[in-house]
Amino acid sequence: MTNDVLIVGRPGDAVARRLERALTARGHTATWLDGPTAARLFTIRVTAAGNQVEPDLPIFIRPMPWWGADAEATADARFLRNECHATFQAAAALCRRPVINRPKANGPVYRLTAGSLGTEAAGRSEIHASGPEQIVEDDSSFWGENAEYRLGALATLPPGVPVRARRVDVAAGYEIVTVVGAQAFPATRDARSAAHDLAARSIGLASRLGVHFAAVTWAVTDDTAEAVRLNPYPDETELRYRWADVLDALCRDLLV
Amino acid sequence: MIVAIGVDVDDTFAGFVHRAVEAGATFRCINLRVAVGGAWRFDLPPIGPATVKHDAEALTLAPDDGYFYRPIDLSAAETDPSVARRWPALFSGLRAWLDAVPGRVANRPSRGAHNGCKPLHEALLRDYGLRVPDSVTSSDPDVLRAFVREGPTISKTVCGVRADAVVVTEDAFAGFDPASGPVHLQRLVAGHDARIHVVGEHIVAQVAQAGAVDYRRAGAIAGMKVFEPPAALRDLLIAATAGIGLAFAGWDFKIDADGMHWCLEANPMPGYGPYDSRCGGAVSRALRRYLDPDAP
Repeated sequence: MTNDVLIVGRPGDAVARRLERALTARGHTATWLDGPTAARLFTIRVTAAGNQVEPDLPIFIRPMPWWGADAEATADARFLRNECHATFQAAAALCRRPVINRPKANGPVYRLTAGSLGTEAAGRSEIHASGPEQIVEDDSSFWGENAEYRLGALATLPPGVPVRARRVDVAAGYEIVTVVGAQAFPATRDARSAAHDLAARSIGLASRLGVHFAAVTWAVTDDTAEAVRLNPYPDETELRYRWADVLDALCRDLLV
Repeated sequence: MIVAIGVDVDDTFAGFVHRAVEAGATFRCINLRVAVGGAWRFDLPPIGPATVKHDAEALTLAPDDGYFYRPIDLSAAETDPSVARRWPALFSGLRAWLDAVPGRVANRPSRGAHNGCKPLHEALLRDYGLRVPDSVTSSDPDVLRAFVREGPTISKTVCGVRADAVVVTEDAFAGFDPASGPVHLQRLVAGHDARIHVVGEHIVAQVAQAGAVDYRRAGAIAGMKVFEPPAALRDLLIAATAGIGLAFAGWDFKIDADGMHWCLEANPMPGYGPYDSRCGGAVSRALRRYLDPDAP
């Protein structure tokens, strides 16, 4: 392994592809592997003297279908997939070089919604319910996403299908702020983003959650700004507004 | 008020409930196999009660109740996809709520997950000051053979799925195909086995005199005796359990011929029933009293 950066993600991942090109344009090289293949690359030693991960190289991690691919697999294949997943998580957590995003002791941070972010505006909690009929206070301002991945006003979702919902201010606009370490890149130049200090607040939120790279979506009105989603594996659609800045920051932070 | 949340087919959960009934404790019980077909609502942040409709009864869960939580996802056993989809939805709400409530929870869902990632788990335990056997995790046959050559070795799963720890020799890696890796090897510690349950600041320690590689398979649980661990170890385990974010942990040790305690793992969801039976239900009692100081 002589390349500069290890990218771990599924083939065709658009964000990984952009980063690979950006690294190449800067005179660096990247190896792009799926999760199990990456896991088998590593040797991890844990001794009284400390930890050693070989090879120790910067890692950029994208979402991987670790288990989805195993629906039809044998029990042995599923076991091996779990062994690979555990090994990769340990290598990424313990290696010394930069990892974006480095798994925490209890695993990676996944996509977080308003209820878990703890930044909700007063009276706008998130509700997990067995169906929309459990949210009796619905005054048509509740929106939700149900277990069938249908998204919409609560009144339009079928009863009896579990749902995660919150009250939505239909007058709010949305801002996406991409965080890379100590830098933040709002998608728009809307004056309200600066007025609400969304760049600094996004950095603070990502830092509190131990995430280096994330897209933070804010619901914004003139008076308030509420973080409603933090995606530690931002999609191309979230990053497209500030690609050049984001890639510069990622390359710099990976190649420290 | 204690609320026990789990599935009736889990012996450990059933044992906790059985001992609570025996003790005359006031508690409520949620069988997730029933709850998944009912109605629920969890508000985040948990500024008010949650509700779970259980059979015909709607249970109100207060944020400051004490929760004994053993999540076992049985969705894979569901033949009806619409029911199978309800399991992750119920767990999603329950996990988020129990992670956020101010009351006592044994254990909060997001804690101790590194037990399923053995190299990381062992590194963290060592960082808490525990003596942990050296290990290597690799798919490289040369690395694996070299580790085995250096001393007696056992093989364990990396992901923590329940399996027997077995002694391995260099021969085991003759013709090893890296595609069948990775493998987690740990230096064998010869000696007696100890299981130490920590509940808050309470400890129940038991030792087996079997000396087997995996005393559970050797049938040695039945002969376990309560013992008093060294005070320094006791303090360390209480601090490490809290440091990991757990209220309840089952710590596994090997005690070598010099009396050194070698830490093998901290289980965040220990199946403690067989140990509880050997000490008159002391673990269950400690759990009840942790969750509700007034509990019997």
